[in-house]
This record gives sequence, structure tokens and C-alpha cells, in this order.
Amino acid sequence: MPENSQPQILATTPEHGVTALAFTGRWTMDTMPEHDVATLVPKNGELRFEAEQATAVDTSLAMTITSLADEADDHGVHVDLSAVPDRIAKLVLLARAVPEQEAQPPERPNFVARAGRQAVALIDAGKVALAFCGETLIAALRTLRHPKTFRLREFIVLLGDTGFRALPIVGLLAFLTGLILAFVGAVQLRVFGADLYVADLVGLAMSREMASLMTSMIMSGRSGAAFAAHLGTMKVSEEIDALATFGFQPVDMLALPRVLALTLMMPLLTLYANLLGYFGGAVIGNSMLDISYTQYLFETQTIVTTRDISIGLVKSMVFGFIIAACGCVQGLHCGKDAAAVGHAATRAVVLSITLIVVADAIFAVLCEILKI
Amino acid sequence: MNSADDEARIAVRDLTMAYGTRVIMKEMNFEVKRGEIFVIMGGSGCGKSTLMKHLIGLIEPSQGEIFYEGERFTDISVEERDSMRQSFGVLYQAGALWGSMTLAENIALPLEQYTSLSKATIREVASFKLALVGLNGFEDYYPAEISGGMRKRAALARAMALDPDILFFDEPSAGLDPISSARLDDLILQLRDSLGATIVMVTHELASIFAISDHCIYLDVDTRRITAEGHPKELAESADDERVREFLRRHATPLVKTK
Repeated sequence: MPENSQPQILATTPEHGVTALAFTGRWTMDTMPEHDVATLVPKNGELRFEAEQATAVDTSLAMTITSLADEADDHGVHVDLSAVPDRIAKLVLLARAVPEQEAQPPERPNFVARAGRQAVALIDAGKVALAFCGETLIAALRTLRHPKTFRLREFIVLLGDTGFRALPIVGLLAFLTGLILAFVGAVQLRVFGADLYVADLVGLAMSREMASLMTSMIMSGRSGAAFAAHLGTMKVSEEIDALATFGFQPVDMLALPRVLALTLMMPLLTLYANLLGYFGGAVIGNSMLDISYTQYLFETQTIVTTRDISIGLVKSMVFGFIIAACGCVQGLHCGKDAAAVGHAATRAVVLSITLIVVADAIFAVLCEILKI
Repeated sequence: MNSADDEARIAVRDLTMAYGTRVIMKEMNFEVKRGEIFVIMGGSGCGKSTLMKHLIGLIEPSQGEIFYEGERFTDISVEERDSMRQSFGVLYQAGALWGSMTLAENIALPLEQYTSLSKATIREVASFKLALVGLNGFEDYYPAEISGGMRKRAALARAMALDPDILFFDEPSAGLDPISSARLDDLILQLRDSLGATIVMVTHELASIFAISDHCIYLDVDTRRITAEGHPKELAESADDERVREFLRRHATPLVKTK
């Protein structure tokens, strides 16, 4: 059965200037033969396609004929499709009906250029975030002058979202952090017989650093990403445009309550994280080093001062502001499709964590200079 | 101001729209008369919605000016623009209701901002506006809890919150079934007649163009200009541009001539 045989293209030598290409066999995408367009298509005369012997299963035959015909067009060779089955010929005609659009190919920068652009974009994002701090301040002043515009009910919902609802996860992570700190410390301190100092270690580390840092990492992934995704989606669905056409400032309406909520809730969450961190330390102290809970609590009370806790709380407010600002900025500057919302959420988290670590480093230096 | 006709509610002069260096439409000139239903039509991707965003001031034109009753709308401060926008009502393509608020709150928000009405009165106004679009009883529903067609009508109610005298519609009948879309057309006509509003509509829904529009412009993708302007029925009969006639008669020149 020739119809089931391998597909082939047979070229005949030109006769009266007409080159014929005969297609035979069974044409499918899987078995489509490799063909060299340049050698098959003559540079002048006429090109005649004969495909009555071929069985076309899918569009592979039409595709092949189209590419050969396009090449023939480039050389000004006349194309004759009269010996091609009607069904195939129609497909070929349809594919060739509209000449290839001279659309500008979208720019595809190479790796180095992309890396450069990413770096510039990161710096720009930082600048935008800085500008946003100013806008938020102005929005806050404006809202103070017109307190009626502040939507209290939504603010309370936000307080719940950024505070109360974060308690379980923040608590769990703080407890585990205290546990890990105490465990690592216990192994070392036991060597020197300084068992009780594990309470000092955990107490100071949690109060000054870990509680605010761990809480802000969680809140960045939790609330920062949520803010960016929420505002980004609002942008995609034109809700932000709708606000603007009613003369509402998106920063006043959307960003300010979020920034306020997170800046207020972060210190409370950090305080709570402190307590659970101490508790985590006490559990290890009690089980590994036989320190009683009372003894542990007493040691923590002696070593951890209000100043240590305050430093942690002040830092956490700054971190809270950074998280909310990054989330809102990325959301409000989001693109106009679903993928852009994802990018906005990712950038919000990455940017806020980066800025938090930088801010923490600045705090460390400041504390050292001020001897606190 | 002599650059804008006093009769015209909206006047657009030499407007060029561009995203960066990519020009969308250029040298546009047209006027919208008071009380008119003005349709902006054109093929997909020609910049209809972009033009509407220029008219409501969400995008700055790269060239040209827009006037409302002779007052300049482009290149002015945010405060001036906000105060001019108070006479606008905008219906976005997907409604764009604020998802965290109920329908009544959606309508109440602009009222709280711009009027000194009491809470009870605002609630009454919101119910009345919802009743106008056939949604009485849905005051305390959230946008996510109602159907797409209802959302669109609710968005129309919100657009009318401040009794605007210009209403902008971005593809009002997109995604609606024929009956709902015909009802929306009726509603738009009634609103125009009872409120005396000027209506600017972006659409390519032929049925509704013929049913309600007084005047329309056609944006051509290829030449990037307005290629026809006038009453839709006249344009379908006698537009100079073949594409406009084809558009209005829903007819396409076949790409492939059959053998």
C-alpha cells in the first residue's frame, strides 16, 4: 500500500521551466521528512505541487507545502496548487492569505543586559519605596486634618489580619527559636559549667534581635505578600482606577491604614514572641540542664532590662513599616495581568527582607555607637 | 476660550496617545455634545479603552488637549482635576466594584466624601440608586456574591452615585447575554433622558451601537486615526472608508477567494 508508506518528496527535473514536487506516502507530524527548502525550490520558472498520491493525516503536509511555497515566492517563482487536494490547498491559501506582519520583534536582551536591568530595577524599587514613605506621611497629615475620610471599620479588620490572626504562627516560630538558641547555648555552656547563663543568652538574643527579626520575616511573607497581592489585584481589576476617578488617593485609602496597622501590631507581636522565646529557652533549660522554671525566670529578669526589650520593640516598628510599605508600593505599582500580581508579591517579600536586614545592621551600629 | 466650542460638553483637540514611543492613535479631533450618546468604536486593540482613560484623566496625553465645557482638563493639577471629575461617572469593563465593601458601601463611599448627608440619608440614596438598576434588596451583598451582570449594574449604580452629568462606559455589554445587554441599553437610554446626562461609551457591540448611539467615531488600527464620524446608520450606508462600512455591517472581506 503506497498510502501507508513513508512520506516522501520527489522532485522532477524542470520541463518547460516547470519543476514538479510530488508528495507521496502517509504524512503525519511524527514521520514528516526533513527537507532542504533551498535545494527543492527552483530559483526561476514555475513550481507545481502534486500531492494527490499523499494521504494527509494532520497539517504536516500543508505546513511543508506552505514553507516551500513561501520560499518560491521569495524567488519570484510562480506556485501552482491545482494538483493539491482541495482540503490541503485551502489550508495553504489561508496560511498565506495575510503576508507576514512586519511587527517589531519584542526586545530579548541577553543575560548581561538582563542582570543589569534587574539591578537597576532593584535600585528603582528602593527609590519608589523611599518616595512612598513621604507620600504616606503626607497622607497621614491629610487624614489628620480630615479624620472623616479614615475608614475605621476596615482598619479594625486590618488590625485583626495583621495582629490577632498572626499569633499562632508567630508564637510557634518564636517558641522554636528560643528552643534552638537554648539548645545550641546549652551544649557550649555545659562544658564550662555555666549552665544557668543559657537564660541570659536566650533572654538577650530574643529581646534585642531574634524576636523582632523572626516576627518580621513571618509578617513579610504573610502580610507584606498579602498587601502586594491584594492591591495588585485591585489594580488589575481597575478598582484603583475607580478610586482615582472618584478623587480618592489610593495611598490615603489603601496604603495608610495598612502601614499603620502593621506598624502598630509589630511591637505587640514582638513582645509576644519574646515571651514565647523565653519559654522555649526555659523548656530546654529545664529538660537538659535541670534549671527550674523559677530559677530560669529569675535569671532572665535579672539580665534582660527594659532597654533591651525596648530596642527590640522600636526595631519591630521600623520593620513593620518597611514590610507594609514594600507590600503597598509593589501592589500599587503592579502590572496589569495575573503574572504581574505574582511578581509584585515576590518583589514585596524579597525587597522587604533585604531592607529589614539592612535596617537591622544600621540599628546594630547605632546601638554600638550610642552604647545601648 | 476660542479653542473649544461652547456647545460641546467635551472637546478633544489634536490628541495623540502613546505608550512610551509606541503611538496608539494620533491627531484625534472630536466633540461630544451635551445630552448625546457618543460611541467610540473600532476593532480590537485599536485603543478605545485607552482613549477613554485619557478622557477621564487616568493617562496623560502625549500631545493635544481635552476640554470640558471649554475648561482645560489636560496638564492641570491633581486637585483641579479631582474637582472636575466630580461630575463624571465611570463604569469600568469588569465593574471594578471595591471588593471589600458591600454594594451599599460602594455607593456610599463617594457620598460620604463629597456630601454632608447623614448616614441614614446616604443609605437611602444608595438603596435608591440600586433600585434604579433593579438591585433593590442587594444592599448588603458583597460584589463577589452576585453574578457578573448584577455586578455590572451595581457598578452603574455606583457610577451614578454623585448624579454625574457625564457617564463613561467601557464596553458595558461585554460578557452579558443578549437580553441583559438589551436591558442595559434601555437603562442607559432612560438614564440619559431622565438625568439629562451626556454618555460616552466604548463598545463594539453593533446591536447596541445602532440601538442607542447618536454619534460615533471609528478608530482605525492601521492608520492610527479617526477614519469616520457621524450617525451609525449613515456611516453604515455611506462611510468613505470601506472598513467602517464592513465593521458596521459585520462583514469581512474573505481572506481566501474560493476556487
